[in-house]
Amino acid sequence: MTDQDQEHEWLQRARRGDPDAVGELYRRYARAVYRYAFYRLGDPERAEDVTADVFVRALEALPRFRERGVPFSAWLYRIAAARVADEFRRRRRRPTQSVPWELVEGSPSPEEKAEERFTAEQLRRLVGQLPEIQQQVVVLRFVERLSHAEVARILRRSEGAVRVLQYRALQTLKRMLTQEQGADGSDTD
Amino acid sequence: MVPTPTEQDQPKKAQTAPELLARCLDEIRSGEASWAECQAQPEVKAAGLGPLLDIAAQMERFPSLAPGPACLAHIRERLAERKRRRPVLRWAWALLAVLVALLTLGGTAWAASESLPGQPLYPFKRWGERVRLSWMRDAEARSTFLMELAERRLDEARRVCSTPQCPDWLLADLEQQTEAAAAEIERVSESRRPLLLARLVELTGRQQAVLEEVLERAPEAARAGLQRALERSRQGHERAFKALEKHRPTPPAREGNPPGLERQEAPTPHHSPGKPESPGRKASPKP
Repeated sequence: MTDQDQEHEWLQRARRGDPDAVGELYRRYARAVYRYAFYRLGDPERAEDVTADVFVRALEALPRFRERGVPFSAWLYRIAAARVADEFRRRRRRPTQSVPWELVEGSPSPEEKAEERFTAEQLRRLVGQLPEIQQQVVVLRFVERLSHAEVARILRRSEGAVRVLQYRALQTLKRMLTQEQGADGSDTD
Repeated sequence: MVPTPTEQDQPKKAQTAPELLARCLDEIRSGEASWAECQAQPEVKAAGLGPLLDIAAQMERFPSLAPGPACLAHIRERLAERKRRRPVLRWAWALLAVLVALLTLGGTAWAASESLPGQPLYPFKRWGERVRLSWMRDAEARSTFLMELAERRLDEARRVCSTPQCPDWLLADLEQQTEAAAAEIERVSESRRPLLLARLVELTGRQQAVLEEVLERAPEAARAGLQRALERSRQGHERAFKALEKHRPTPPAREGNPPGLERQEAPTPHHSPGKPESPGRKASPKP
């Protein structure tokens, strides 16, 4: 049985209210949704809230979900994107909190840790300042490691449009990094 | 004829920077090329994509966050709690929706009940009356309600017909509802009829008083209609009075009078001297 067949079976069973199938879907996708929410919002608590909401909404709407062309994961990301947009509307202030390191998987050396933390913190903060659609592309492409085609399906855009958005997002990040480094240099002078 | 070049003959179409970047990232992800190899490609260098690839590489090393067991448990708890709360919320929303609908309907009905001919809500008022009447099967209830409707038309005529906006149909409806009430009274049992006839006598008497009052102030255009309505009302009053007389028992008359008849005689608040008295007034037994 392929992975897709397996997922199809879980979905069928979850639609009928089978708690094991619901649990399986949850175990499979909760991390991805949480990660997505955290890198968009930059707030572990709000990311938890969003993850819970996404699953509640998805499980409630499951009887209406049709697997034609859209994988379940893409559907979850769409719900998550809408929920994150709600969060942004509710609280205009953009995130400033740091990565919850206690939740990071794997343990690099202390030096690596320090350097990685610095870069990750800086970049994550800057990602949070990108326009919403660019944020979505960057998080789905580089955090969630999805292909251009998968991102295009989630965002309901063409692959070409996703490539352009990805390019623009990286350019914007490069410009912001240069500005920050310039500002740091002038501070130290 | 100039031969058309095949695809192979044509120089390879130059990729745009976003396409080049995407191709490079795809090659790295599929293992066809390393970050360094990609950055070393001349077209990548020419397009200045090196720094962008560096940023992409750094982001691909973003810590792979995973919520800890406590966090997952917390999420599960919230899921369960939300699931428990949802039905209550759904009921609350449904209740709220019903309340809003009732308030809206009630508000509209109240506003419509106060409306006059020519106003936007007036058709709702008349529609509501028709619906209510269509639900009534009992002749006594129908006659009572029709007299109530005739009272309403009379009040509307009093407020509207002293202006040039007096519609002919309003007076026609007043007559029709009064006549319909009289017809329904005929279907009521003998024992209950005198009381209803007494009410009809009172109603038609009041109609005459009000219509006479309106007629005095009415513009010329409305006078003919009012005169006709007044005449029909007098006829109706006479018929009702005669019918009531038939039900009056033989002497001793005082014991057999329908209860309250004396008090229900047509009031003449603005009775002009010299005008003929209504039959009801002439015939009313003195206590």
